[in-house]
Amino acid sequence: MAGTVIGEGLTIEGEITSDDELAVEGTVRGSLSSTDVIQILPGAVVQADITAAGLGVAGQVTGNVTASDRVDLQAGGRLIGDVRAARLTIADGASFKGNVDMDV
Amino acid sequence: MSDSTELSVLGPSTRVTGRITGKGGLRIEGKVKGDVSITGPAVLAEGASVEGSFAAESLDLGGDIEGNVSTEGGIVVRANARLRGEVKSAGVAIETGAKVSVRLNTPFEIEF
Repeated sequence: MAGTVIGEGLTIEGEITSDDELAVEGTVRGSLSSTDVIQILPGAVVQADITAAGLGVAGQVTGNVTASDRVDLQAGGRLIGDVRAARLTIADGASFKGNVDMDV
Repeated sequence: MSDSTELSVLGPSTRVTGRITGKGGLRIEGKVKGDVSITGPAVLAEGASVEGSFAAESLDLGGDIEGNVSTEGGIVVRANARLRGEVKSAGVAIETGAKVSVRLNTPFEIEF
């Protein structure tokens, strides 16, 4: 279980920073950053720029995302925004619109 | 440690600057600068802090709040907690050792 869980029904508008693993099932507007892994779960709505070590997207994200390790767009996930990460996977059934910068 | 009504947890290293609203319970172990308004029960763990107004169904306070607090149900202020502001609540319990500086309003009628 992640150290921080933004549950279904909760909305945070503003800036969130953490060193915990972070799971989002609710709504976030603003910015979201963690030195650990961030998981955007199905049903989540995120309108924020995201910075993390690793990011998994199975919900909806609108914003630019940066990961020091990897970004995984999972089945059912939707990302509109630019991705900056060393590694990126896009699963069958995920939607994506944006640019990819793998720092090559 | 966590009870089943807690849907959301802000861990000890988590900082939020902004507004938190919504349904369900919330456990705060980190720091919040901004207003919190939820429909479920709230727990502020020891070491946690909120600077801003705080509204919830009930509150178990082990950390610090500077701001106005409003709950439908009761508030328990634990021994190491600190609370400053205006408090409106059905009832308040304060443990020995808690630092509390509030204007307290628990609505009631006195009949003569």
